Amino acid sequence: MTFPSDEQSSELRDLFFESAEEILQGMNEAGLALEQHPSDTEQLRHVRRAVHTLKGDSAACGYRQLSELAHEFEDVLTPELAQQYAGSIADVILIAADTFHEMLAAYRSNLQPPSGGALREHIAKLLHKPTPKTQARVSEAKFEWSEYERLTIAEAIGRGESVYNVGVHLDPQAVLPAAAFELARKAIESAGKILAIRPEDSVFKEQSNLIEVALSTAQSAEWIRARCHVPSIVAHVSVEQLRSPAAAPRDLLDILLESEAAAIAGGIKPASLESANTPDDEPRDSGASAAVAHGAENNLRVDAGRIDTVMNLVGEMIIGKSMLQRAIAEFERAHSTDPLRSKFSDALAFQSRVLGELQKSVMKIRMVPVEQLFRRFPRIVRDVARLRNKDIALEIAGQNTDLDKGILDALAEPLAHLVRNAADHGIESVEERHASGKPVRGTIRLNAYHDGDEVVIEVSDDGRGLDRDKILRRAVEREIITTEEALRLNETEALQLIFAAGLSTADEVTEISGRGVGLDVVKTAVEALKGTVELQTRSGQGTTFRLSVPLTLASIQALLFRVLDRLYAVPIASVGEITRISENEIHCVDGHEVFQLRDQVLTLVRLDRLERFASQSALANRSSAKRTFVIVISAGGRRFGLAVDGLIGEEELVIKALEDELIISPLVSGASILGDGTVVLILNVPAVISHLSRIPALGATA
Amino acid sequence: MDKELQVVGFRIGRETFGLPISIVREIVRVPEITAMPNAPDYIEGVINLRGRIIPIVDLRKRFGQKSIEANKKNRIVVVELGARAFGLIVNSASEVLRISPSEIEEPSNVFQEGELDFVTGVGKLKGRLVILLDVSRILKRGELASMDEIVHEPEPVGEPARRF
Repeated sequence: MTFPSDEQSSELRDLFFESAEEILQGMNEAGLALEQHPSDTEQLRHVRRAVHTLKGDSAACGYRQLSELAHEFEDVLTPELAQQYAGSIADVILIAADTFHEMLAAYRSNLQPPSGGALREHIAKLLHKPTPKTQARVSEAKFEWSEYERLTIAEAIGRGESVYNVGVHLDPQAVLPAAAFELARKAIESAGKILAIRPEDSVFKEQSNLIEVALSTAQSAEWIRARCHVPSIVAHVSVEQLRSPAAAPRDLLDILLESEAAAIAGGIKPASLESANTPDDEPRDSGASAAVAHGAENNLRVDAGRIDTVMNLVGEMIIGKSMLQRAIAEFERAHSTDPLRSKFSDALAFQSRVLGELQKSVMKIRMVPVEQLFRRFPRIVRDVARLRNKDIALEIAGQNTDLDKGILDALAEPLAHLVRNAADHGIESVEERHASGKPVRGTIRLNAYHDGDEVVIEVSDDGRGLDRDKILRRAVEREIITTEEALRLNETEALQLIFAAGLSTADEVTEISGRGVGLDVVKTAVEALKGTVELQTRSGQGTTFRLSVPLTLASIQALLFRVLDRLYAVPIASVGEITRISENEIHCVDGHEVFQLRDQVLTLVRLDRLERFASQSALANRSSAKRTFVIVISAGGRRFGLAVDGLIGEEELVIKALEDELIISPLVSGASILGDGTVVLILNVPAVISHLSRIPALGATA
Repeated sequence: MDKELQVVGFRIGRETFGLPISIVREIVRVPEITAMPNAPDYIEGVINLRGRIIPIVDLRKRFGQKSIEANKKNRIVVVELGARAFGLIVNSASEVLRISPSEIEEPSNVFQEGELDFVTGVGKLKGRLVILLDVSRILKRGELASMDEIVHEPEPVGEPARRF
């Protein structure tokens, strides 16, 4: 394939993969809808359009195998066939979506794509034909020119030349196929100027009994047909003049070439695609289609990295603002009567306001509705339900809740895991539900909502609920905890055990959920986002997982405190309360310091126990305060007391990642710079606590 | 005659060390250093360099000696290697030295053993010895050292000097 430049083509490919995912998502949704209402021809048209777009786009990127398969599949998607095979068409659509997905994944990692044989068989079944692999290739000319070729064609038309798409079908019965191929090519070359040709190389290959050409010539279509029709070699010649039609649907290419050649290229592309007897004359509606965002005149695709850069700069400005604030405060103290004071504070107030708006606006750019994620789950639930013979409904709420794109992406796998788990293990079989008097159809609910500075996503089911005793038994079997520890655990702590690595309570390992990936992965992923996972369960009534994550990763509302001479911060969301205790309220149990807070006994964690957290001189200078501040922290369903020497206050911190491998530490999730230039470390609370307690994480609370 | 090598010279203890001027971004006074929990011993902590947080390496600790005592003359030599930036805490940063390549000797075998193989050469300048360092090796070895419990990767001994 010919491409203008590597860079441009890789950009085109990236764009293609992105839009292809959307297309497949649309196919999945339409497939599910067709399963419910097999006669819904509108859905079928959606799929057809989606496949059609996929065909064209993949051809433009040079992914021939995908394009060909899509082409074959498109042919099956007629209302007549759909009516005839009402039951199975939805299945085939879903299989096609999976096949295309696999092919895309292969292309993405530069691998040989799978052949899609299973899908071809299904297509053949629908067509009442055996599986003739080459048949479809022979059938018709597609004229899928590359992006560069289309530009060339467009330019030629622009210069007033007549351009034709010519399809020369060789007679399969020709005696010497290679020679016939050569002759036909010669004939075409003599007919005019070749702008694009398939196959590109003049070497004859098996199955290539079709030559496609974009030809620029002053002659008429009739003349071309006569010229190319070499007797006893060429079976049939199709000629079609290319024009630049006016309004045409937008596609991938247009988006890319928006600025330079949108008008021309947009005209050529549909012509080349629609030419080959595809009776797709329905107008494309832009809104409902799940395919590429049509009519997105006001939308801009921007590399996420660029937004991050702006976000970082805004972060720097916020630091700059607090520097200025401090300097002005000092000035005011030193020159309390200076008339400049009010000018300074006016200017500062104005700047703060604008900066605040700027920060909000930039953050909004990164926000996307969780719907993007939720859309994937109907298919997952349907597949599990079918495989395990269950009847499951999926209810989705709050899909318009906005969340940072980075966080959303990081949540995709954990959430899919939870949904799969709920469908596979949570919801009981039809018989079981019937026996226990529940509605036969189980329900999984997805919900998302804002809660202060956090976004909460819930996955709940009305299934059998978690069996606490079973979890404890399994945990002891797997030596995650000891029997004695098991006896001491309260309800919440026992349930938290399901997040421990290597614990699965399903009796059988299923191909759906039992793939060695446990809920510990969910917990790790959410904690990496500075979020928390909670869970509630009632035997026989169901389970709810509640994931809370911050709105954005760029800044954080934090509580600043001092231990010895160092400043630290913890996310305010993890702080339960702040209390003071005196030394004699601290007791020692099992080698752990504990204290009593109302009716609860909490472990006391001392940061200065951390290696190298404290310098010896600072330790010596510590004033022996009678009462110690304790920050009560809730992490992963457990509560701890964090002993600190002084509280500084609450502040919004702009997070700077500590990326250099020299200083990377699991105990610190990031750092921030205060207005006076001091570096403050943001603690990764769960890691610090498990590091300090140094015993199985859950045994820490006595 | 070969081109002279321009080197930023600095002292740690009694020795003079040198880094190629091309990788030294600036030399700053020692600000407040924030200690990092569980970092390798020779990582003094991090500092805020005009909004950028960079790690500070104490070369003396890296060499297995005691750390540098706090002193007003102490400086931080900020080194930039590609996208990475970090500071070296030194007793004093002196001057830019010009050393002609003919005055540089390959490191003796003493340097090629153990922890000292990041010395790329020893330059002679008016009777003084300047130990030339390959910073990328200092950091690389540092990572290995901190992973010592896990892997014992034998390092190739006596690699030719590359940085200078």
